[in-house]
This record gives sequence, structure tokens and C-alpha cells, in this order.
Amino acid sequence: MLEIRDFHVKFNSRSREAVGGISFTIQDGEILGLVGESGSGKSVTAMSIAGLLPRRQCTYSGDILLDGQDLLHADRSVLRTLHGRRIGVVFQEPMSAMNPLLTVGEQVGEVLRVHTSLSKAERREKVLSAMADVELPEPEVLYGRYPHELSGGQLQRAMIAAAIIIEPSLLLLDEPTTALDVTIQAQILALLRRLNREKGISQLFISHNLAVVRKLCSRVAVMQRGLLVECGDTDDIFFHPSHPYTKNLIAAIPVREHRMQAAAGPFADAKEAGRAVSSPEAGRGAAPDSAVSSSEAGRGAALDSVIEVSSPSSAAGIPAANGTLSKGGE
Amino acid sequence: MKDACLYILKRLFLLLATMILVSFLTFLAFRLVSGDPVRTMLGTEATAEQVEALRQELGLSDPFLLRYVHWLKGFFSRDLGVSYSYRQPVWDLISGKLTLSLLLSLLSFALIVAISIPAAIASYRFTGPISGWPRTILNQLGMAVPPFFTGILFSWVFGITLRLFTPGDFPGFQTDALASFIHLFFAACCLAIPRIAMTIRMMRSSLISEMNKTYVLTAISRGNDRKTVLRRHVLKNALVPVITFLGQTLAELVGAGIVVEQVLGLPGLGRFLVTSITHRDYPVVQAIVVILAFWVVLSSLLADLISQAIDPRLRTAALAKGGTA
Ligand SMILES: Nc1ncnc2c1ncn2[C@@H]1O[C@H](COP(=O)(O)OP(=O)(O)O)[C@@H](O)[C@H]1O
Ligand SMILES: [Mg+2]
Repeated sequence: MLEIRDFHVKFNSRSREAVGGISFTIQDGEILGLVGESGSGKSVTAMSIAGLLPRRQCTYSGDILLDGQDLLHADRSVLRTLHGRRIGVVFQEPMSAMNPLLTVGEQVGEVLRVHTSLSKAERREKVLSAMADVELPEPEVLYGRYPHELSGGQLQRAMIAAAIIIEPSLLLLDEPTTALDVTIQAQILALLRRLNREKGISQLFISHNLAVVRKLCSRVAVMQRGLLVECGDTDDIFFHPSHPYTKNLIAAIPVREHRMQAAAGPFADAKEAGRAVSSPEAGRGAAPDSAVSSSEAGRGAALDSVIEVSSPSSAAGIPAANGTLSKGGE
Repeated sequence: MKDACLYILKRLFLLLATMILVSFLTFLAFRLVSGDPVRTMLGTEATAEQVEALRQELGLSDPFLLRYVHWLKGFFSRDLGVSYSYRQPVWDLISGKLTLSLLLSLLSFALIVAISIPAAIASYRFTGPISGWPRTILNQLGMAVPPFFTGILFSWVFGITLRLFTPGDFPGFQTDALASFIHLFFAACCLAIPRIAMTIRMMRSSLISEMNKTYVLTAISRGNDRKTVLRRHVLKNALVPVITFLGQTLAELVGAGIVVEQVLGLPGLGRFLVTSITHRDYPVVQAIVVILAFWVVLSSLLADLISQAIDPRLRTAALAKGGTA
């Protein structure tokens, strides 16, 4: 449904291309993961798909096609008809992505106000059911609240409700769980999986954390410095990374995470478990090797940005995701 | 709703307390800097008996605190005492001048709001965040020109040359309403020009910084056009800091008007205040100081209430403070 061909972006203020010629596709009903260290061009890619690229500040080329329709060069007026109806966007920081002066209900229903001729009461009905759909507690109460009165997790659910309220075909999620703590993160991932299954909404899920992507996506694309270094089946890439950068990303995931994935992860059938048990060795092997031999400064940053320390799963019953997030621990 | 009423009541009470404190401090200050008003009034020739008699008459021989309480009681019934120099009730002396000064302030405030907000929006819409040097120079020129200079310039151009008004000769609204309004209008312009330049600059930079926030991207990603993004999302957010600034502007306008009143010959509070200070006419000075202070506190209260009506975060913060205090 979405096809990106040889896509380049260069900001006028920078000497290096932010995105240096990438190509990938998202199939109907698929969740594609996009991983890479920060600054690798993930957001620029997502913003370009969303038609939010600041066009005057950069030069760009290539094709971004949504069901054959060009998004990259489309007119603003054309993009407006797609925004919210065909494409929904969810950003990293729900607090700053919401207008602090409007109620949550108004913002969840904004797409309806723009794209439909529903009456206020009808919109309210739809908003309440969308809010219930993303498992927000007491929608009637939260409807009239302002963003600063909700928690980060609730806000992110509201942002998702706003993005899917008229069921777009593609949902772009730019690090939607990065700002949330690990328990909430797992719940949001479960919600996204359910929305994908029940409504068939295709998603581009961006994260700098390969372990998170693995819980949600069957396919993953790995970006480094504006280039796509690897793209394919998540498990293939996870267990047989071909690019040193990908190995690095995997090595940075703590070993315990692998074991827990093997024991109770979402792909915990016999074959997967068999692979996962063998993976710690690969992971351990890769870590010192690449850390020592790495001469590129970027790799150190990559390690930093993906280290996630999980404690063994406890009462909550959410496998492999209910630890606490902390950087540089272990 | 009930919380909000309570909050407003509390703010009004605080306002009253501030006013009482201000009036007490000015009362005290005039006692300390003294210079005996009776001696000033009667001259050095006066006999001790004459001085004592006048002291009695003016109530100056009472103890300080008693005099203050007396004054305060009078203030609430619009009895501001009697002027030493004119031997007339202070309220009768200042009410007309006060009205004129307030009109001047309000007119120039209206000009500031009505011109600078739309101008800032237009300037943003047509040039975006890019700053061009002609606009910057114009803006800085506007800010740099002091009102007394514009006053002199306007007197000469619009007053003496074009004869739109007669500088130094204010007819009064009863005599000639139109001429009075024109006179007042030019004075208001002098006061407003530098503040318009400042407000445009502030509103514009507030717009630019709001436009860079993520919620703008969210709004676009939901299919809003540029105009709706600006009108529905950005404008109110950008206004919040500007409203605080406008509150300060309104507060200082009465004080700033004094110079302009002098230059254009408007019989407002300004000139009267200056002469009353030189004559140590304390009841007059005291009344004017308290009224000016009231104006300042009221302006900031209004600005607070308006920004809280717009921004729910400020509302929450205010109510939270109100709950614990
Ligand atoms: N508006 C912009 N102007 C100039 N450079 C930008 C802009 N947005 C992003 N970049 C640059 O593009 C590169 C990719 O950024 P981004 O896509 O945000 O990375 P990430 O993978 O962390 O999301 C970075 O080097 C960043 O500095
Ligand atoms: Mg990013």
C-alpha cells in the first residue's frame, strides 16, 4: 500500500543528506518496524510520508506512493484531504503533540470536525466510542479534561484514538512509546497490535529499540545515517543480522531480554524458542567484538541509545516488558 | 465554578489589602519626608498661634495613626480630604482630571490592542519567521521614539501646521466634544506608538515560537488548513504571554501619560500631580498615588484573570494555590 523508492532528503542547513536514498514498502495490513539510532533519519522519513516535511527548508527527490498516489510532491490541498482520513500520525511526546488549550475530547474529534459534516452530538458519540476503543478509562470524564490533567500513557492513547477515529489506512507512529515507562509501553504495544488485527490498519512503527520493535512487527527496516542497512523479516534479522550495525543494535539488548523472549515472548513457539536459546551466544559474541573494533563514533551512541535493562517479569503478567527502563545499567 | 468565584473573591480581597498597605506606606512616607505643609502655606511671617490654629483646622495635630484611620474611612466614602493649597475637597479637584487621564490611557490601550495584534498576525502570515531589515528598522524606530518627542512632533505637524487641534488649549468635552476627542486621540497615539512596536514584536515572536511546536504538526496531520491551524490552535497559545505584557502596559500607561499630557497641554492628572508635589499638597498627592496604585493592581488582576480564562494550566495552578492558601 505504501511504496518508497530511492527517497532522498537534504536540509539546506546541513551538508550531509538526512535521508540518502532509501526504498521500502509497507504491505496492506502490515506493521513495519523502523529502527536506528537517533539522528539516523527515521523521523524525517515518517514526516515525509505524512506530508509534514518543511519543503522550503530542504531538497528532496524520489517517490512516496500511497496506493499509487504521490505524497512527496502532492499539493497541500491534496495532502489535506489525505491527512487524518488516509494517514494518521502519532508523535513521541504526547504532551507536546497536544494543544494545551483544547480539551482532550475536542482534539480526539478534530479529524471528524475537519473531514465530516457530523453534528456536535454525533461527533461526541464517535469520540467517546473511540476513546473507549483505545481503553481509556471513563471516557465521559476524560472528554472534558485538558491535556495537562492526564498521564502520559492516557494522552498517548488519546492521540492514537484521534489518529484512528475514521480508520485511516496507514498509521505512522514516531517513537510512540519512547517517552513512556515500560509497563505503559507494553500496554500501548498490545493496543497497536489489536488495532492492526481488528481494523486492519497498516502501521509504520518507529523506535530506536530493536527489542520493542520485535514485540510488535513482523518485518523491520534498519536505518543508519540516512541509509537503509537492512530490511526484512524481524526474526531473520534478529537472529541472522547481516550488517555490523544491526549486530550492534542486537548486542545492546541485554541478554536476559533474549531469555525472556524465548520463554514467554509473543513468538514463543517451539521453533522460535529453539532459536532464541541459541541467540544469547551470538549476542554475547557480538558485543565485545564490535565494541572494541568499532572505530566509528556513531556506534558508541548507538549502544547508549538502545540499552534497556529489564528486570525479570513479575506480577503484571506482561511477558518481557514489565521491567523498569534505565540507561547504562546492568 | 464555585472554585472560580472563590478565587476571584480572594483576588479582590488581596487587591483591597494591597491598596490599604500602599495608602499606609504613602501616608507614612509623607510624614517622614515632611517639610511642614502649614509653614509652607502660611509663609515664614506667620505667628505660632496662626500655625497652631491651621494645624487644628487641618487635623494635623492628631496622632499619626488616628489621622490615617480617619483618612481611610473618608477614602471609602469618596471623601479624600481637603487640598492644602486650594482649600477644596480633593475629589472635586481631581475627578475631572482623573477622567481625562483614564480616557487617555484607555484610548491608547485600545489603539495598542487593535493595531498590534492584527499587525503581528499579518506580519507573520506574509513574511513567516524570516525577518526582513525594513521591518526590523521600522519596529526598532517605533520602540525608540519617546512619547514626548512624538508629542512635540505631532503638536507641530497636526496642531500648528494642519490645525487639527490647538496644542496647549484643550477645550473640554462639554465645550467641544469633537475637538477634545481629536486632541486626546493625538496624545493617545504618542503614548501608543512605542508600545505598539513592542507588542507587535512580542506577539510575532510568540507566534513564531508556537508555530514550531509539535501540536502544530498534529493539527496539520489532521487535515486542518493553514488558516485554521493559526486561528484555532496557535493564536490563543501565542496570546497568553502577550496578555501578561499588555496588563503591564495598561498599568504603566497612566504614569507614562503624565509627560504626554504636559507636552500636549492636556489638563489631566499629570500636571496637577507635579504642582501638588512642589506645593507639598499631601492630601492631593496621597489620593493620586493611591488611585495610580489601584490602577496598577487592577490591571495585573485583569491580565491574570484573562490569561487564566484562556489557559487551563494557569487555571489549575491558580486554583491549586487558592486551595492551599
Ligand atoms: N528541520 C530540520 N532542519 C535541519 N536538519 C534537520 C531537520 N530535521 C531533522 N534534521 C536532521 O536530519 C537528520 C535526521 O533526523 P531525524 O529523522 O529526526 O532522526 P531520528 O532517526 O532520530 O528520528 C538529523 O541529522 C537531523 O539533525
Ligand atoms: Mg526521531
